[in-house]
Amino acid sequence: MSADFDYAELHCLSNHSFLRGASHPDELVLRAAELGYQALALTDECSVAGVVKAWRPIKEKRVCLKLIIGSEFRFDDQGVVLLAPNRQAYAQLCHLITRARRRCGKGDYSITRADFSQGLDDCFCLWLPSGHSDDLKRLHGFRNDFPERCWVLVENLLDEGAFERARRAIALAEAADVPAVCGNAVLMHHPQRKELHDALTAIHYRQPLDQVWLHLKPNAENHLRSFNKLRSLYSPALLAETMRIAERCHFDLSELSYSYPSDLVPGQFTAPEYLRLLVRQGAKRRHPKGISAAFEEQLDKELALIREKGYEHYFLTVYDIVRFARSQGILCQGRGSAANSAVCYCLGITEVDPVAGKLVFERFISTGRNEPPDIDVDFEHERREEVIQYLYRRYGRKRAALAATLISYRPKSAVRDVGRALGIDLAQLERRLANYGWRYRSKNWIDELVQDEGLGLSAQQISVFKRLLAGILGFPRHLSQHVGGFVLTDQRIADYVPIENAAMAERTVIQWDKDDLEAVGLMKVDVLALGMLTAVRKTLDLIRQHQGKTLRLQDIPQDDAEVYAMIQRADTIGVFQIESRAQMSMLPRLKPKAFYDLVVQVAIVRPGPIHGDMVHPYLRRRLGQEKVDYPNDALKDVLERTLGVPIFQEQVISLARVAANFSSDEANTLRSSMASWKKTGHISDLRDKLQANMRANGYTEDFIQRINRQIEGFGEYGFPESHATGFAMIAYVSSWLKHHHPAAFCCALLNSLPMGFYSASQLVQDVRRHGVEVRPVDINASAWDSTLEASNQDWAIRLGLCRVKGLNETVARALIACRPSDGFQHWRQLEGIPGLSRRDLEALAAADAFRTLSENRHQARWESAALNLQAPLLKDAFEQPVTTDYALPAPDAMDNLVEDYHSQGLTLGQHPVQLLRERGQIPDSVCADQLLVLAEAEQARLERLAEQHSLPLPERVRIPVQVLGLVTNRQMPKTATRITFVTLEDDTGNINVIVRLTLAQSSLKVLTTRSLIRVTGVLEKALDNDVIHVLADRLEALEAELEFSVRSRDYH
Amino acid sequence: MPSPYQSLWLYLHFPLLALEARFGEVAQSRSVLLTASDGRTVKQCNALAQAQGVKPGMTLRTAYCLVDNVAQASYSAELEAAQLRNLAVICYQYCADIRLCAPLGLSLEVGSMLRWHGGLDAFIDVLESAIKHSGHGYQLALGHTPLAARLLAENRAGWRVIDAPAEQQQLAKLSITQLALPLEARDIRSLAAMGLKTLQQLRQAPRSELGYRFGQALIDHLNALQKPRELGERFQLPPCYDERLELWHEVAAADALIFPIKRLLHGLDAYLNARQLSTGKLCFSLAHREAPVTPLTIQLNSASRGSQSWAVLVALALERLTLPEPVLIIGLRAEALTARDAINEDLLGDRRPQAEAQHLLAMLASKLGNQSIQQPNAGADWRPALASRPVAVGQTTGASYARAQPALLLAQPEPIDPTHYHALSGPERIAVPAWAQPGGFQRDYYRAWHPKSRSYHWISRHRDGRWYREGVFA
Repeated sequence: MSADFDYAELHCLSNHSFLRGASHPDELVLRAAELGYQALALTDECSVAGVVKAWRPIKEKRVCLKLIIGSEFRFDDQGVVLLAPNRQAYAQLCHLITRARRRCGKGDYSITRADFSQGLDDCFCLWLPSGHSDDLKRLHGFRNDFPERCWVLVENLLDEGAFERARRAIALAEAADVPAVCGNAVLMHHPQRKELHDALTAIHYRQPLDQVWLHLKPNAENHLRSFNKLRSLYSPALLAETMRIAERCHFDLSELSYSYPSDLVPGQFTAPEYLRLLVRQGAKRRHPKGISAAFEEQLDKELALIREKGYEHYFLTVYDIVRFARSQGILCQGRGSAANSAVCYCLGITEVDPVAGKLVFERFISTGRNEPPDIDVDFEHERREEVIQYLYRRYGRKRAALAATLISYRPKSAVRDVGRALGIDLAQLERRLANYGWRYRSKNWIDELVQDEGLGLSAQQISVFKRLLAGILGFPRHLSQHVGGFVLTDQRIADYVPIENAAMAERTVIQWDKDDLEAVGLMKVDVLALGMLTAVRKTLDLIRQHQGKTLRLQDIPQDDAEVYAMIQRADTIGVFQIESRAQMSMLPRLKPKAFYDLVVQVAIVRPGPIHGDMVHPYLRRRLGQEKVDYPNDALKDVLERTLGVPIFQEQVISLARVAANFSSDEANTLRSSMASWKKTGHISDLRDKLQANMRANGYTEDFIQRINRQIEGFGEYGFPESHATGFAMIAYVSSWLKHHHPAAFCCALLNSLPMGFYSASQLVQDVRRHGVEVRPVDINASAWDSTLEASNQDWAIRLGLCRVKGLNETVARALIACRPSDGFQHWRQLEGIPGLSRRDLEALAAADAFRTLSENRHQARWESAALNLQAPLLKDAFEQPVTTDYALPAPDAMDNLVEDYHSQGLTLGQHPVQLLRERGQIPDSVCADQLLVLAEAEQARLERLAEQHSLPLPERVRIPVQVLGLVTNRQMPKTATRITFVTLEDDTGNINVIVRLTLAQSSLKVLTTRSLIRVTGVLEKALDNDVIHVLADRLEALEAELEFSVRSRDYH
Repeated sequence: MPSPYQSLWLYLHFPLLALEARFGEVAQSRSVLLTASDGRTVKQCNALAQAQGVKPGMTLRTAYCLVDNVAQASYSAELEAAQLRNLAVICYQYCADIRLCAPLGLSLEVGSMLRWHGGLDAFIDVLESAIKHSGHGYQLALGHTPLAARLLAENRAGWRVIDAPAEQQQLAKLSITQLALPLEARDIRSLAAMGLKTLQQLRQAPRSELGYRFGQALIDHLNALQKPRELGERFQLPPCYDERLELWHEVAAADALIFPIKRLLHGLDAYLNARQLSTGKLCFSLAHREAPVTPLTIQLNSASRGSQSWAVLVALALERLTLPEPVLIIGLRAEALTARDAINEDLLGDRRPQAEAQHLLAMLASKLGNQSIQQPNAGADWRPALASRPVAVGQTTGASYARAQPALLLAQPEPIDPTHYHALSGPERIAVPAWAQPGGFQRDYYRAWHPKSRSYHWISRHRDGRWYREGVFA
């Protein structure tokens, strides 16, 4: 675009000034470049949250525009824009934002005039007149604080009195002898965004649009204006001044050279020396009998690569965190690209031996790719906070902070907020959302919802609603804390990026998310919480306590055939990762028999491979039913380890390089943009290129489309091999413990709840089916946690008092401490327990924990209600009566069952289904343990018939059946078929039910609200394995509805 | 021998009182529900909603999933209480000793009333027909103690058990959750958890032990099932004005009605004076021989007080009234009764001009109807024509947003030749997106001097480039 002058916009807010700006940072940058601006200052309100997102397109697309970083501040009805001309000024700005933000709760800031008087020696100040009579005095103040660096910002936005105010601003500048410069308070890249801006304003004030007129801008002038308009509104001097300022600004985000924390290296060593030393020591520890040549070679190769990339500090930092955890007895396990290295194995970051597991380090880190190393470390979920607090102690709050997560508008929140802005009756909208927002909604549910006649919107309103929804989706709403991504720096973090308070007390987050961090090259270490590690550590503790055996993770044999046999039977309730319904149905088919099989198993039941239709080809090849071949030889290297079928995210990226000639940079972009693959827009050009190049290279259309769908699937739940390896390790360890120490493992799981896929009830039923005795809660035998007790040369689980709902932990511990050595013998002994309340007694009686003092629960409650506790129980009118031998009616089996579930969520007595069956309250049906028998008999019959009559066998066995049970699980994976998987439980086991979408929709009420249902359908079994399920034709609620709720795990 | 009815109580239970009070007849034909004060759960719902699976206590979200087209409103305890009092008024015609058992019941002492009504059957007939007339669903039972009657009614456990031992047998079957026990929910759960689940079982437990564990109130409650004890607070007639005047001859001319009406107004004035109340609305009902009642409502404002000033307003209203038939009866109900202002006297007299203006406004409104009287407005809408649109009296939002534009704009902008004007300031651009009006709105406004008329005008350039005069500065 030609213009007779140059221009730089110095006052521009993006949508990272939440609910103020109406354009994304990249939209602003691209539009400014399109208009021919020389520079654009992004000056979000007390924030630099959007700057990386503005900087990235400039860098990546080589846009010809200078990005200036700044920030707008508002205080005492004044406005000031600060700009950062150089690195020092940027750090000063970040520190100012940090100070202002740390004073307030999440999302707010507070700043005073005094904050501008010091510590901003390099920043530029653009001062906005407020219209007050003492403006000149205020301007003098700023001029003194920012000598030669202060300007009056003149903005004419064509609102009422705009020309007069602009003239006054220029007069003020002349009077104070300060230069004036023009700006446009940009809030949107294009005036068409005004409608969305109005909606954002209404959302901000939580009122309908027609109630917030006063807060709406009178026109759409807060946009990036054309040169014609700029020329007509501002004098050449004002316009020229923008360029003079821009030319004095040199700071670019690429100058942020990150330095790793250096204090981890003892003085006498350099980082490479120290790392080498630690690795050598670790190698000896791992291989006490001597290090093999292959391992030695691998170590050297890796250390050389680490040296070349300068990653020593990174590995040392992770090592330090892991070392701390280990010193505290906290279990941890690393995963991620860099974690699968011999170096990490020697440093103890991972237990996976990469050489034994045939994992090649270069597959994860290559010299060609310029991506930061990635190690996520999982810690025991109950103790991760200790690690976080260690990091704060070790580095201080000025050098350690959590990365942010940008929470953006999703369809439901967008419908709600836009609906409110348009003044739609919220109750009615919620009602519609409840109907449409459900899982069984159609794909274009938003359109259907908006057009729903019940909302009574006119055609005009519908089109506005749709337009606003389309615009607001993906808009950031607020910053939240990342699940565990820590940024650690050598100097203060606020030199790089401002820090603000998170919603959680004592937590601080930086203003950038993980993508921003990656773009500017700041190191992030993920400190994550994993429930299974807690359970594993507790299992090891129990084994040590009760069996006197000290078992460490590294002591667990890696290739125990019995453990793999158990896994192949899908006997994996409670085990890490391979315990879900889908995983369990895959196990008998995939039949893992070595560690790498588990790595594949963990990764294959994921949206990526499922969307890409890679599961069945892999299974067929594994079973030898299909020839292992490769689209061409070039891909053999990439796909060989998974029999020619791409399973892992890394393989798809390598495939892009090999099959679609992607450069390293493009492959890297592909990896980081997988998350938005489906959303089109940003990377459709990448997708087009991938497809075009693959086509040109002679790949079939079918393969290309499958790869494309697989990438879409990865987008939602990207699952790389490097992470699958770490997970497979924990899956194996937990399987080993379940097989060899079932009582200890189940006991530890019970003590680590809530976690995993199964409820306490399901875990207890499973362990009992494995022959482990489970003993009830008893005030004379239970500890707080569940424990192990000796039982006929084996171990039984004693349920702990922690299982008793409503029991105060302190009281329970006091009760245990006061417990006489021979146990409580009579009721009065309980009166002296400190803090014991009637509520606690109730809870204990409900759990039948007084079984040694009383015949039944009723009696226990009656007796305990008469105890004279420290708090006066009652009552004025009645003297404590002489105890009579009044015997209450004893509870029946159903009463006991109900109480068991209410008080502990499980029963050790009869299963509810068994009980109802005995009472004749439910119809006859096939039990869970009979289904396989039935199917096998049918299969044998079919095979006999086929042989006799030389007939082909059907694909699978199909028998009509009726089954019933408690619903313990409802799931609907995001697949095209949108099938709901329901698990029913009866007294003999679990029944897998498959519900098609149409049936789910027509039986919505039964499916979602009832806990005891009967399914009429067809039992199906494949001929070559024992995987069975019931394909439902009809769902019915049973009349004998239970008086208690069974915990169902729904839609996770 | 004493009559078996000597000590007899009747209890009326209205299970959906608030719901029916809110929805009236609508509740008969469609699913309706009341939301609890948290706004998220169902408080009450009618049978139609229940048939589709909605239950009290359920979240609204679940309810929406089950019923597509449900009318809803918030539960109001006040409305419920008022409705209960209204029902008590109905019963008061037949029974002198009525107890309000809020929120849903009335306890009537009937033993002593029966001789006035010619026996139990006759009494129940008249009572039921009156209650049915109210449109409320109800459950009714008789009992030898007020509490027994209440429990039998609430639980539909036999409405007319005359034999006292049989009554006790019926009661014994009730579960403890049906007994309205004066215990917290937790204690009731405790009782059940001890296996004491029915009144029968509760009676078998040693009373002193029960009392020790659960308190005196429980024992008193159990006793009240056998020995009469009054429930709730005694109902007294509500103080309100609702009078009828039968005319001694038919009046055909509307303006002639003012004379009898003055009598009514006089009575009302005396009544309000005695009770120190003011009224905001006079509701007349003019009954004819054949035609339906003609209603006549007079809105009053704070300045209209006393029968004379009302009479003026009524006379003005009567002038506009056309009667379908001559009037036989005039009813007058005073609505919106409020306590009078603490300061009745305007000592300094500075309220008078305001009061006179108010009175003038009230007179104009009575004469012409509210919609005919408009006042200027300065609204918040950026579009000048909409912001300064005059509004009906009493409809201004209160806030006013002064802008540098003429207070009164031309009804339609007039096309002009801009060369005849000298722009003094502007442009001021006003642009409103399409959410506010189809196609959006954009105009540039200028303050301009019109030399020919020697006046300041407000002119605008529309999006099509044409120029208009929007208004004239005074």
